Amino acid sequence: MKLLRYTNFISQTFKNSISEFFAYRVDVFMRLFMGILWSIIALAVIELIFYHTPSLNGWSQSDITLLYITINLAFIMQDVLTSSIYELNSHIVNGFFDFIITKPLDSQFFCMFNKPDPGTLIFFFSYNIPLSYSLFSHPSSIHWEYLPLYVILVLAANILWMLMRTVLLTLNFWWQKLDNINQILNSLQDIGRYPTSIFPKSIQIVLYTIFPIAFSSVVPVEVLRGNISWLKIIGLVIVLIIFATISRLLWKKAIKNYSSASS
Amino acid sequence: MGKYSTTFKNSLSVFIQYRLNIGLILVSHVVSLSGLIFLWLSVYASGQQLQGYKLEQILVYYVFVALLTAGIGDGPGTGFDIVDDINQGEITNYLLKPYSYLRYRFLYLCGSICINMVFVLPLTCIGAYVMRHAFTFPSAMGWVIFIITVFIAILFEFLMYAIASLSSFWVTRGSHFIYATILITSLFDGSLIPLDLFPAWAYRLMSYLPFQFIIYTPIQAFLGKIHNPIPLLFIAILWLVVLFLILQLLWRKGVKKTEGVGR
Repeated sequence: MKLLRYTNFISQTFKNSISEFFAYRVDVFMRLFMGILWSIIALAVIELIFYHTPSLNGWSQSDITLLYITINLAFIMQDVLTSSIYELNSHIVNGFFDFIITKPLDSQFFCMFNKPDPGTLIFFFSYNIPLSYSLFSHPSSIHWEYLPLYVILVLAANILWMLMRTVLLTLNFWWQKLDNINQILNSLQDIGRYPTSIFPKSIQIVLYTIFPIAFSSVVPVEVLRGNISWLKIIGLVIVLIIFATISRLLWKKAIKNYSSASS
Repeated sequence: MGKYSTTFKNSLSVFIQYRLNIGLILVSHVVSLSGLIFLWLSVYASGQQLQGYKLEQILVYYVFVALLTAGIGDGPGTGFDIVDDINQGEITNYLLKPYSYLRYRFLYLCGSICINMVFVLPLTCIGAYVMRHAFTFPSAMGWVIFIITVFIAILFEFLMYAIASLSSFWVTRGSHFIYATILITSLFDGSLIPLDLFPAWAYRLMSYLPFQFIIYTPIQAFLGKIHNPIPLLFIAILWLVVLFLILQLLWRKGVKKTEGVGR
């Protein structure tokens, strides 16, 4: 019964979002344009880097392009499903959160899934197609037999970003007007576009533990390059469990701490 | 004039109130740019060298990119605020009063820049002291040119994002235009890669565009690489006039089109 309520909720929110998506047709073209623009800039940056160096710590131009594609893929699904969590800050400040906690649904679940953004899927094509074209126009050493494992790791990376984002945004319960906390996530996404080997050891440890973005970019790409490290894959599973636990515990603590501000 | 000085004071109060938010934006800029710094460190470690830049110079360049972006880079925030005001109809409140909305927004941006500077200046002093052997401080004339270029950068930052945000008078989601401006600017203002590292034809083309004045030109002025500022200032003033006229034209046409129903 409870499960049915949650699945009905998800299907209804998706229907609403798809209707909204088609209501703003100009938005479709803008996203298409943005994705293409984004990919052109990414390609320009990669070209410029390799204009000055033949390889980056053993990573070729096509490897870096693959890294750009992977970090984007690791973001897209969670952006489609849980983009509504971005609104948590305004829900708390405007008092809408009072309304959320009275609903017969888990408040964390509601905040994460109440407004999916299927329009983000446009970026899947508009961003990745030009990059993929560039990837295949350069010599690369992709091991296609590992593609299924790569896909699984990218899906896991999506869950990891979702959890990291939830943990960070939950801090809005204690500090209001933390609009720029999203910028931290964007900066981490920027860092994920570089091979971890270019960073000093201490930063590499941070990138595999506290802000484990290496699992969402470098690890899947290494698999596709044929360098499978089972230790890192196990590490990803452990990090996922830890972040899921932190996200849940922090949310519960936040709810206990929450007191209505306005309505 | 008193009403505008009150606006400026109010914006200072607002930004002082949310210090943590400003701290987060500073951290995010530093995190984003650290990737680029380590990337070029890795390139230099492999024995490659960038034309015209020693390792220390490239490090100084990126430190200044971080400081300038954190200090004066609030243009997108201003743009998003204008988009919200237009979309939510708040703009009509300003239109009914003897008060220039665009001047108000510019002063609001200046307020945020002043507060950012409180955070950025101590970091700049520390950075300059740590890297004092990597560059020579500008001469008295150099300082004058640097301060003028920073002031010009603030004007460009405002004009570009204000123009992008006025698209909200015609489209539902003007925020896309802000994102597009962020993307285009990031490539052409020298914040990702110094413009003189682009191929010669691209560098020549970019030296006639307005984007260079936001980041690249102030840094070049500080590093003493601008020997004859007159042609550069001429291009800057020309672009400022053009952008100002475009802003005024869009504002007039947009206001004519606005309907303030229910206000």
